Amino acid sequence: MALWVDKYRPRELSKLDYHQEQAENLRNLCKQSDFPHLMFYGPSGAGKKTRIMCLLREMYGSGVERLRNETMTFTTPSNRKIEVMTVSSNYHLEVNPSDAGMYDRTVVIDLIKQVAQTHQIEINGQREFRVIVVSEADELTKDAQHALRRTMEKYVATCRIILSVNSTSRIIPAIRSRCLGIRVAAPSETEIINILQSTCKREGLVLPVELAKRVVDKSERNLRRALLMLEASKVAKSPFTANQEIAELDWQVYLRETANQIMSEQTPAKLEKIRERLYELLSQGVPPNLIFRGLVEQLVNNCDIVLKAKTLDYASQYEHRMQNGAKHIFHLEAFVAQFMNIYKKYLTESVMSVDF
Amino acid sequence: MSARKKAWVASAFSQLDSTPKSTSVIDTATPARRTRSSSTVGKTTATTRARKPKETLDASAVGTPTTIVDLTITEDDDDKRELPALANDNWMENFAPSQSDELAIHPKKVEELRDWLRHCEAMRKKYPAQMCLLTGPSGAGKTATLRVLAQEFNYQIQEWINPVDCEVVNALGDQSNGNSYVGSQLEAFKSFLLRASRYKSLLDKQNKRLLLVEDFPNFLLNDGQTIFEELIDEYASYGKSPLVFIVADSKSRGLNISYKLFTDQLKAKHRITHISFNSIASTIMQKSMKRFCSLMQQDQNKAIYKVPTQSVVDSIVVGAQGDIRNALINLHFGSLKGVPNIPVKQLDVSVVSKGRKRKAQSTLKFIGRDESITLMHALGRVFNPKYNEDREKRLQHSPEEIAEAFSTEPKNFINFIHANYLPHFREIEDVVLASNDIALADLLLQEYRDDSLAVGALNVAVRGCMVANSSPISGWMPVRGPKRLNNQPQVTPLEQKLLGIGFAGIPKAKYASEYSSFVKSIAAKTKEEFESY
Amino acid sequence: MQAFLKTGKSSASTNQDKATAAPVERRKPPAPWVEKYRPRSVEDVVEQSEVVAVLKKCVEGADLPNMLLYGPPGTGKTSTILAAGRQIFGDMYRDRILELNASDERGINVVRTKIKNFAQLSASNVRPDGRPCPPFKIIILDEADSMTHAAQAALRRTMEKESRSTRFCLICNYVSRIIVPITSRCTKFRFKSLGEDQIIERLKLICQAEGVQMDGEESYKSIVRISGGDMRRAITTLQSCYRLKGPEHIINTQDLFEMSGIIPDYYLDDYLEVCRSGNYKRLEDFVREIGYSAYSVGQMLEQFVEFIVLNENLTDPQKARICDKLGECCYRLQDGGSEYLQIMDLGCEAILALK
Repeated sequence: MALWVDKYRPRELSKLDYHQEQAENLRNLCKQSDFPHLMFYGPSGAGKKTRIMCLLREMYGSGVERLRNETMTFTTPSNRKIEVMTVSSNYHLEVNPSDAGMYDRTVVIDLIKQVAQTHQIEINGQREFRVIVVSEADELTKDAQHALRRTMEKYVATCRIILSVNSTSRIIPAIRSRCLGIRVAAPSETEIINILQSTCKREGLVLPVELAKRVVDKSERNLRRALLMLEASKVAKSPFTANQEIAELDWQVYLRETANQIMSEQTPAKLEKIRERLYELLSQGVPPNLIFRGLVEQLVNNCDIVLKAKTLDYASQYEHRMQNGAKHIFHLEAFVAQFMNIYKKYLTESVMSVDF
Repeated sequence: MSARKKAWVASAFSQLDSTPKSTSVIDTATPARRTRSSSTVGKTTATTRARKPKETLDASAVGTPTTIVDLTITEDDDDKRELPALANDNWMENFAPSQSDELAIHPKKVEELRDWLRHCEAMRKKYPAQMCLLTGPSGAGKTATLRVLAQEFNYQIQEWINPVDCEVVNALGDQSNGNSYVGSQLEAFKSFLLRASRYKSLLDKQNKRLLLVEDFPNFLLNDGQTIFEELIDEYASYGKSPLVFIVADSKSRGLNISYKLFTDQLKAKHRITHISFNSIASTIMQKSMKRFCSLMQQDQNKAIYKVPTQSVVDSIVVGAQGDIRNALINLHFGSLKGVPNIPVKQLDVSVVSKGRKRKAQSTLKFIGRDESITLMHALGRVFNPKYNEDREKRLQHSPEEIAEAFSTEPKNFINFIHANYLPHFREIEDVVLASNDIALADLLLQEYRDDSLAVGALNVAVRGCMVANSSPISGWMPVRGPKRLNNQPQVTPLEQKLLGIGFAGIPKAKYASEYSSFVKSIAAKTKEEFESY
Repeated sequence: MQAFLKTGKSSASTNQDKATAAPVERRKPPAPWVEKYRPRSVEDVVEQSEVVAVLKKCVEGADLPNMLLYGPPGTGKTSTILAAGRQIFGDMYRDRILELNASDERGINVVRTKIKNFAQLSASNVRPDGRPCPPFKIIILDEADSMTHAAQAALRRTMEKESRSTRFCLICNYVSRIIVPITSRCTKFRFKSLGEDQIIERLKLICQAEGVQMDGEESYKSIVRISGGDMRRAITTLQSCYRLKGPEHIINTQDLFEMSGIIPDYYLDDYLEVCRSGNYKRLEDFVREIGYSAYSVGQMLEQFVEFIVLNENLTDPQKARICDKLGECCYRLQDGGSEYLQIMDLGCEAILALK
């Protein structure tokens, strides 16, 4: 029943498919009595979470795989209750404080306090500390990161923190310097193809090489996406054929269509329609920074280099504003308006030059 | 304490006139005192106003204008002493309407209320008790209409006034041990509803009472809805007199009692008649101003008042914006003898324009209501900016004023601007500027450390929209509310099952961007397979 | 006296409690090397001659001024004052020194209560055992530049009033963030960045003591390069590398770069080359590639500044134009902007500049 991504996820450091040398390093780390806070960084779908789980298993044994779901409730200073879902075992706890939005600070502080203040019950366990895995730590607000740094120092005796991060640029230096950074690069294309092939073999399927290549092309070297894509394609059509259609992320398709619409007409009325589409994407829960990036990638296709530079200039400016603002739609819309304007000018100019 | 307060108040007002009568004004004007004295007598806080059925205003309203006069007088100290004394201790009563045709209300509204009272008459002594809700902007004449009509029908009005503190002296017969305790306001309010509707006053011959709640008890103001419903339920079963609620409209939803307490279900359940008053039209207002002026010229008043010039009257009407009480107060002080003429400010609205000569409008310079504009109104001004046809192009409504009017809820207003600005723009070039400013405003609003930035941000957004729009598309367009996003990705149980226990570990954003579409199609397939078995 | 003990050693006493409560087999985790190899005495402090001279006098019995120690991180500010404190007070160290750093609560309330209370306690000039000792206490405010201005303002009166029995020592990176009334009450000491030789000397000492195998002089040099004159970072890098690779491994330059997240130089070369080619598609691919290999764009831009400034193949106007954009992009990136968009923006500008 489980998805392939989970079904064939390596469970031990020695069984990892790539970055073996790094796995060796991690094993070295476990051998020592001391253990630092860790920060795994790398692009989405590179296998950060898999490595973290393998590392935990290496430290605590198979007990970490007995997972349970727990919903923890926190009360903010303004007396608002927030619920955060966690996954935990006896030895570790996994949490996404970024889901709590602006209340992530409370979650970080209270959660670590709760975990850190309960000592390990098993005295003959190998480790006297528990591990808190914080995923998407780069989505935490600055405030929460500062809080995290303080708690990291305070409860170093009873807990260790493992951060999983997409880009270290958004992590404050104080945390970066307190963690041992582990770089997890995305797997290479051949590595992904090999994994896809071996997965299919274990499922008893035959995967044509061309199809595997196409899946890899579409996956942007994201292993998770590649596997999900393959499984979804299998659901659509199996057995595989070399030129069958590959399932795509629907928001990407939608975004591409949105970009085309922007380029087709540049009027306030059109902008209003674009806004509706952007709202739709946002309400699907697609992170606004991905929308921004996707839009830019599509929009620059038809431009000359000067226009490209202008577009990126605006994009980087508005995206930055968006990260600091509250209403993502305002900034997305402002960017689209800017683009429409420069694109319209560009079109009329090129028409003029054709005339002469 | 109260004695000292009285002395202080008296001294502050003694400048107004030196006759001892003025203290008696204050005496009745201090609500705290009144309440306490009545609560000690009957333990209810109902005030009997039978003696003064014509009184239109809450006493506190009297206090405010007097202080204003105080200020004006100090400007010219010399003729202060020559001021003639006011003939009555509450001058407002002189001007209060006593008959329905004197009311400055649209006759249809008056008739509506009269119908209800007639209905009450018919339903007298029958259950359930009749209830009515009057709403409208302040100074629309809600209370005045009720009082006039109550008199017409010989009803005696029993009004609830919030006690400052319900100090109930524990007096069980003669065992007065001097202990007092602060009773719950809820109890006090309940007993008011019970007693005032059933038992008539000893001092009064009439046996028809009308309960009025204008001053809502504090416990109803926040989250009092369930309690209120219970109270109403009870009253409907035991109440014997008609009950009237008067609620002034308020701009913000949080304080809007008529919206919060009087839900549609409640109104439907108890058949509460809802009559909503509009602010008074300027023609009607003009008419009643004339009546006031003629009243001023009556013999007993002549000594106090002079006749205000027409321009003053006009500007009072403009400045009051449909608030008759405010207009009356301004008129009163504009025409008091010994007070210098009220400075009048020319409004920059409509100078001679397009052949048709319109009267230059002006408003009072300092006295006058704060201009309160509704959201819709302000949005209209933002989206269809009008320029004065001077040589230098100036906006008719300055962005600062609009921004200032919404400084308490900048976020809301900016959201409204954003939701509605696009249809008013013709060119994408203009939109660029406007959208840029709106985005900038959002950014500025995030800076919580500086309070003044919020107004600044609002100003940026408003100004951006007004200035950028070089050729606005005018015409009626429905105003849309800002859209709310609920970022809850819908995950069916089956999809969750596919992901297993690790589901909780996937951040929401990642689920939406990476998993959702694949998992959906996979889940759909598994479901098919499952069903085919 | 009881209160005195409480404020002075709250952290110490809890540690002890834990140690006694815990079962015997629970060993204390080994201290990080940064702590382990902190200088024990003022003489051990590397470089920083003026402040060492002052503190030496003080250890010998002279009075101590209020001090403000500032300079880049990892130059030994905290180490110096702690070592001095140990030497001056010996076993009374815990009672006589109050150390607060940014991780403690340090708002205006703490200044008003905790610091004031500690400052008001008097200090005798004899030890319990009768030997003489300096008649003052030291309050160390580490990372003082992160204190709010209000808290700093609240501090200045206390500093003056209690000058009889208390010395303040403020430590910060940027002296400009300390309000002027405070700086005027302190003797300022600037800590210089450490030279290559001193860091290497220290590192060699540690390697010897811990049995770390290094791959020749070259790898020491790369540690220095990574650390940029920051001793703490140098030692942490060394220890992290040792932890990851295990004791048998001989640490070489590549391991160190990998560990520290420094981007290899050829990436910078390639980036500039791609921009020179003027091909947007290539730029896009290159930026994606950086993303896939998980290098931090922030780090990249930081290194790129130096790379551009020292590059001899660029004209000054080109450098100016690129650096202008670079500054903007760096700022936005630090402030939460998207890595992809910022580096693409920079790339486009570079393409235009190099055309």
